Amino acid sequence: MTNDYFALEAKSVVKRYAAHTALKNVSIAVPKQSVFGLLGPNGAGKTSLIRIVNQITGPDEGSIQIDGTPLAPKHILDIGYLPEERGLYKKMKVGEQALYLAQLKGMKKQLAKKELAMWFEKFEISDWWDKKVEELSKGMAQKVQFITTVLHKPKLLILDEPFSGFDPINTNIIKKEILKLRDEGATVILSTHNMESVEEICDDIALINKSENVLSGSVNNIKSDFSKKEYSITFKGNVVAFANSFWGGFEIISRNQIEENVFRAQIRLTEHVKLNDFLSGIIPNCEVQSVQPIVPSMNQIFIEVVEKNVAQAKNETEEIETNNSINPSSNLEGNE
Amino acid sequence: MSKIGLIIKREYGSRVKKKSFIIMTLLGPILIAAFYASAIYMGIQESGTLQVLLFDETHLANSKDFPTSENFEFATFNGTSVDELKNELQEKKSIDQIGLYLPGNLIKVNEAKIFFSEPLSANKQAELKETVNDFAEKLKVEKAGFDLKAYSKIQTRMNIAVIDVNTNEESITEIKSTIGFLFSIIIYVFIFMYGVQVMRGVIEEKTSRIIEVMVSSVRPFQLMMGKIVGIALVGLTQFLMWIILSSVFMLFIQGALLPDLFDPSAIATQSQDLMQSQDLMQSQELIEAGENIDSTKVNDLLRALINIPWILLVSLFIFYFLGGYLLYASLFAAVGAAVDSESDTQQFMIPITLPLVFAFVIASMAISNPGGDAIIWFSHVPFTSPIIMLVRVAMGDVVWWEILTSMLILIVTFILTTKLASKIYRIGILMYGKKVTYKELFKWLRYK
Repeated sequence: MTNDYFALEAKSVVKRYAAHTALKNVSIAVPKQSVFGLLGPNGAGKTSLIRIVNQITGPDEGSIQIDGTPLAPKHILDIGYLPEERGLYKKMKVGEQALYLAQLKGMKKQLAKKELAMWFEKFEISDWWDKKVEELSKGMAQKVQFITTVLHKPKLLILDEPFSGFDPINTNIIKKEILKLRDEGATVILSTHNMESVEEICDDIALINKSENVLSGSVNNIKSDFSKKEYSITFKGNVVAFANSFWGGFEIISRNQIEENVFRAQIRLTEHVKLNDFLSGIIPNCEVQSVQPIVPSMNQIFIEVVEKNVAQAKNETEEIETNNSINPSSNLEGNE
Repeated sequence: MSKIGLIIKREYGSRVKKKSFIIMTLLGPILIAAFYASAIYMGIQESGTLQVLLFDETHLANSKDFPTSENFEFATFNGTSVDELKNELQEKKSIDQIGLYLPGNLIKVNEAKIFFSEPLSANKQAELKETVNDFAEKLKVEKAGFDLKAYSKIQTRMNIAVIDVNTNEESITEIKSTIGFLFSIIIYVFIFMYGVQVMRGVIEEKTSRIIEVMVSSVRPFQLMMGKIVGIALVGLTQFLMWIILSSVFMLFIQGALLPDLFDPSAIATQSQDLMQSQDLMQSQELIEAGENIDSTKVNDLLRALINIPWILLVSLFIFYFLGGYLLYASLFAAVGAAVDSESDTQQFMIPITLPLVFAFVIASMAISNPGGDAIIWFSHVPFTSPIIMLVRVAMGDVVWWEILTSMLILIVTFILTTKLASKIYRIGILMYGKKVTYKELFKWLRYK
């Protein structure tokens, strides 16, 4: 795999601030022409990483490559960035402002005008051109902001919570546009807490927690890695007979009765047991109506990973605290 | 167009289109013109014609010697004694009537008397005394048998500057320093006004959250400098408009109020083209114009105006305005970046406003004591020099290398402050929700 397979590659990036370290050795690789989910709880370090890619700040250690070349000022024109904390000049007219931002991204005025007219028409906001931004509702301003982000056809789009402030209909429109931009050749980095949209449109993800990359890979692989061989099975027959039918090969996590003699059970197969074996074991004893694998949602994976992390961190700090109580001098050092 | 050019264009364009800018630009000259008009109007009021009851015991005065002028209209008093004249004035208590008593032995005793019941302005007294003086001279010349025409040719009125060798002060220094001080006031007001605009602009970008979009396209330094330069151009535009509009308004007022008191070309030079050339021809005209008016005060004013190095003063004004503004504007920008809202700026504003106000106080002191040590020192300190130096320059009390040193120090300092301020700015614009302390600002200076 050559370097320019990736639109963006961050290698062992470290960013320190006075009081804390925002990124500890974070590496991510974003394949070209994909939608990449950059996930993580608030304050995990996502924005720090995004700011480094946007050259708003610089990394203390590590390197960033774009299309296989080290990050340089010229890349600013190739990136479209929609920050989470976004805004526009309130007193400026919508069209004027969009033109201004486009020109700052290196577009020629005439071209920017033409492209803007096209986008405004697509989003059905052509009559806003002469409106002042302060007259727009939040959702309307978001639309304008999205347009200004993608107008200069950036190769790399970084969208931080792009759906916040949109109603479901507009969320859908934006999702479609994001996928369309990807299909047209753009690479999209999506930072969001909206796990549903991650499952819907992301190809790969990285999960940043407490300044570290704790999970990364393609969405499909991660999901199957986190699936625990759990199935939801609906059957007609005797529960006891069902439970005894494949002794030792599975456990019942929960069950409930749907109709008379019809039950739905959530089961987990023990290691090395295949679904086929299990089914052939129970079919003689009951009538199987449906079997569905239970795949963990990204939401569950997110919570699981982050909570595991928190528990680990807690243990670590407890250890440190016990150490400190033994050796009070290290306490002083810790304060410095 | 380069990015910084785009930013300058936006900062400039959005401000000069604002209603408040247009109103200020019009209001400034209107106020100046109104002030000027009221000054002229009051002058006219004062010069409202007084009737002078002329009690002439010499019986030699005629209407040629005491002609009707802007100020006076002479009428013969038909009484027989000074007491009668006094009584007449006392009874009427008229504000536009005074009495002039010329005793029979006028040329022997060199004495005459003016009676009034309401005070008479110094200017008018001077004019009336002058008239009586001329009359007495005429009588004496005639009595001595000289040729009156030849005499009036010989008669000379010198303009003599009175100079104190200790302070090198000329009698007209006060007028000159006042003009210098006016420039100081303008610089002071402009630095403040436009510095605060820079600060507000930064806060606006921060609170509207556009800042992060901006710095993903341009460097923070470009954004800051674009704003500072754009607003400086707004300031220069306003200054230029004030000069042009004030001149137009003032010319208009002069035309309306004083159609034939002054020679219009001389007026133009006096009022507006103060700024312009200083060449000899014009000076000559001015002096002549001054003599026409025949009032020592105006003469002094004109002389001061001519003696002031206008070209130097105006170029220095532009330099010191820009230098002082650049010095303070970057600091204002840093303050704007460090806070979340304008109400938080107070604690950081004090160290900025203090030297400005201090410089203003020193500059006002310079009017009365231009050679003072403090004034010389503070005209070199970059934080005060933009406001103080112009007073010294207007008075001509400064040598070229002093100006040059002060300019160099100012340039070096504003480069330094801009560097420091941009460091604070760069960090501050992305910092939200935290009340920043001085300690933190110093920390920011050390960030990479």
